[in-house]
Amino acid sequence: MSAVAVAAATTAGPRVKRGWKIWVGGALLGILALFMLVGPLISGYDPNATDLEARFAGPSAQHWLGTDDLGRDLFTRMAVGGRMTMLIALGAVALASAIAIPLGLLTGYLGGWVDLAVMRVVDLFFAIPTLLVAIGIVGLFGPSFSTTLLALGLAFWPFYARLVRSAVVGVRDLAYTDAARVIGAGPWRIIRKEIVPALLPLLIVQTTVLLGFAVLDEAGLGFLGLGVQPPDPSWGALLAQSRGFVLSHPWIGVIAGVPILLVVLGINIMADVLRDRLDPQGAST
Amino acid sequence: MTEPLLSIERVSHEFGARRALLPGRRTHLAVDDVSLSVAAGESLALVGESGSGKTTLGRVVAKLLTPTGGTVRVDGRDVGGLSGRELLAYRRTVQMIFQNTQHAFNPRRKIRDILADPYEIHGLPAPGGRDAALGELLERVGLHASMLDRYPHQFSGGQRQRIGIARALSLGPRLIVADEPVSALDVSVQAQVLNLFARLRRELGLSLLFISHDLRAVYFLCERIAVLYQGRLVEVAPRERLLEHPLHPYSRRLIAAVPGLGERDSAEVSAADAPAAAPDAGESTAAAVAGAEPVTGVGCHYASRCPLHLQLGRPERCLTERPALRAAAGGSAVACHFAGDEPPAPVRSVVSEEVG
Repeated sequence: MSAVAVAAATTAGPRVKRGWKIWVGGALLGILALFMLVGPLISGYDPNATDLEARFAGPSAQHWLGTDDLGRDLFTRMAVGGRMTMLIALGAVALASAIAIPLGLLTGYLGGWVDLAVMRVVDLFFAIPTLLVAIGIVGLFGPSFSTTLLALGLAFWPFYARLVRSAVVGVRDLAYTDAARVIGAGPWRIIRKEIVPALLPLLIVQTTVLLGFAVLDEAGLGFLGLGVQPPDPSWGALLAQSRGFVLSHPWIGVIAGVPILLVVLGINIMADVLRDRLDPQGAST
Repeated sequence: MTEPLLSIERVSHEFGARRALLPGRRTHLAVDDVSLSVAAGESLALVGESGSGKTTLGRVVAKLLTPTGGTVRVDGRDVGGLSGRELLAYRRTVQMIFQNTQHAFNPRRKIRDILADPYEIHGLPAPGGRDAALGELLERVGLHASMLDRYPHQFSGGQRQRIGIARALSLGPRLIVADEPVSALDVSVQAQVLNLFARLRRELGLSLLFISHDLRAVYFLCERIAVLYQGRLVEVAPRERLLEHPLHPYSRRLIAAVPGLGERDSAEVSAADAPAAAPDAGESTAAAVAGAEPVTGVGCHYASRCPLHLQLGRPERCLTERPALRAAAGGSAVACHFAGDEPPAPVRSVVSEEVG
């Protein structure tokens, strides 16, 4: 009897855990997405409309999350800023993927001097912290929405390219790519049919992880005043703005910070779930 | 003699040769000046211990590797510079079967997709529809058409090797390079797969380059046997000739090390020889892998462990002149200065001396 119970418990264990993860992660991201998409519509405020009568109003029926130093509705600004942040994060990850995946496939498959040259460039990027690279690029073009996107994209690709490359090297030398060559498959067919499908789980998981980093780094850049510029809201910009009142009105900082935490948490939980589902080998080792 | 289907002419392959310009790079000469030929419909075995270069030679023939020296000809035509359409035509002539059945198939693709590859790449005709063609292909190797929608991991090792054979056969090749096709399989399954090879050879008139260290499998399947030692061809002879009258001292050791084959000569010899040969093989493998023993290219590379060399009083010639392959009695060819000149009996005494 007890043996049966133990067996049942051990088989049920991981499943319960996984279910927990997908629900929490899904709920977090779902609620936040809903907040960003329909938040400004239901609040009825313009994110940039000032109301000097209602400066630093605490959370209330009129202003659900209160107002800032110019009386702007924080609920609306957070929702609109969230859109901005997510657009930047998605754009940056898309840009990084667009550079890193083809480059990683190419260097990993071809090897030789192409590999050597590209990987030395990657090493160069590795020597500098990601955020510093991004700051440099912002410094070059001036802070704006598109620069932030560009800066983060360019800062992320080296890490991603190396990851893809090493994964390709692992698959390239397996016997089944030899078998494909003997059958007469050319390099493109081998990459398409044999290598990319093997990488797909890794790519999905890594893209998700990177999205979390992008949200964080957008906030970082914004906090330094190098992200989206006022009056446009973004989570990073709102965080930067809240710094000025952290002693007098600390709740503004909390309101600006907590959604960042929740989004990154949600994304990371989902990345975990994806890894468990798509890449069982990677999860166990 | 008519023109052979495959002829390997003075082929060498050196790993790391292209990088050798940089200082400190170690190169490894895996195949050293080997010449062989396979006639149409013939089955030639490449035998030798691990590290002897037999797999490398097979990969050169299958054009997975470009040799650093020499030429491979099929139907008298140099296949070195083939590309595009001509390379595809070559693929249709020469196919390969792999040792490791676990990794020879993409685990994410169904058998149907894997077997459809040759049809897609080469635009092979499938008169009764592709499904029928794929099903027929599976039946030909003793599997069922209903298995097409399974994944590779749903098959046993023997079944996967049959699928490997089916994949190679789909292109209608005239020569198949089989790289240790049965050595990863259970003994009971080995026999089935070997029987399949024999049947297909009979039915399709295939030529076979059969790479193996299993002399019994080789004896069962191949008409001629070529023995490689550390990248060099030491002896090539018809099957019976090699197993009953091996000339090269290394071939003798190799054959004596197989219980049941060595017995043919004398039971006591194989019993005495086997323990001597086994550690020797292991040792030289390690040496070949580590590159501890420099192959200088001067003299005979087997001289340092050769019982005949010892018995003849370490003649200078073995150390200074590389033995060329020369014809011997019974259709053999042997790369040894002295083998075949002496009566075989004293060699045994030397070997048993060494053991004792």
